[in-house]
Amino acid sequence: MKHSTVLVVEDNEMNQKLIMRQLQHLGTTDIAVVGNGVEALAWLESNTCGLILADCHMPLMDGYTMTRRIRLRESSQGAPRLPVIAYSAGVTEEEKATCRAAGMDGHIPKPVPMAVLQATLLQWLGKPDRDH
Amino acid sequence: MHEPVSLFQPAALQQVTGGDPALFAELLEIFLRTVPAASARLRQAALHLQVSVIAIQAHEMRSSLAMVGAVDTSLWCERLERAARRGSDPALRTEGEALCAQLDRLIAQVREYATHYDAAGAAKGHDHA
Repeated sequence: MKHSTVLVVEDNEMNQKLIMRQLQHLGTTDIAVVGNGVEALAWLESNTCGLILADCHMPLMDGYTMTRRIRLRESSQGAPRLPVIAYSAGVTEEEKATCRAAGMDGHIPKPVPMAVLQATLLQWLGKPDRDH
Repeated sequence: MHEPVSLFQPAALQQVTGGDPALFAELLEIFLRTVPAASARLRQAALHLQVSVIAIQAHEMRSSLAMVGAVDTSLWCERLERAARRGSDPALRTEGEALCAQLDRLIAQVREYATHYDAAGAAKGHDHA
């Protein structure tokens, strides 16, 4: 199993580039990127990560469904809970509630301010990742 | 005579990139590679009233449009996406075509800007802010 610090699940290429560069600025170089929930679940079959940042609305499989599948898999396998943070332009209370109901652990706006991203990494990964 | 309204707002992209000129240039390149193609697919889908394709293409462009400051165009995409998800409606054809005409103007503005953009950090003859 190969390990990445962060898995980004995002279909828009501009957003992929932006969040990757932001993560790199914060010292996280070990980043994997996939384009939708189906690809994320396939990636997790043979890889591990410390944190998932997932768009909510994507083609083929959205972030909500992906998270529900991850929680089901964890439950059936007795695996530890993998933090999944919604990375979405929608910040309404209704959307946040939908994220929580799907099993997501938090929500950051898109585009995300660097300070918010840094705080999220610190909260879920414990320390700034300086793995390069 | 009024100046035509600029749909592209370089300052918005500048803010998103935090003043990183290389990232600014990379995002411009991605925009010009992905949005015209998505717009062409949207135009064809609107012409043939393929509602699922209209919804997908409109959704695909929303973030990119917002990132370059074309907020109204992004919201237009969002409205079209929602309308398409509600089902087939002949109005989607005219609405889609009108949106694509606006996208053509935006893409031309971004292309013009990118032509003069210097990745080292300065836009020749343009003001970033």
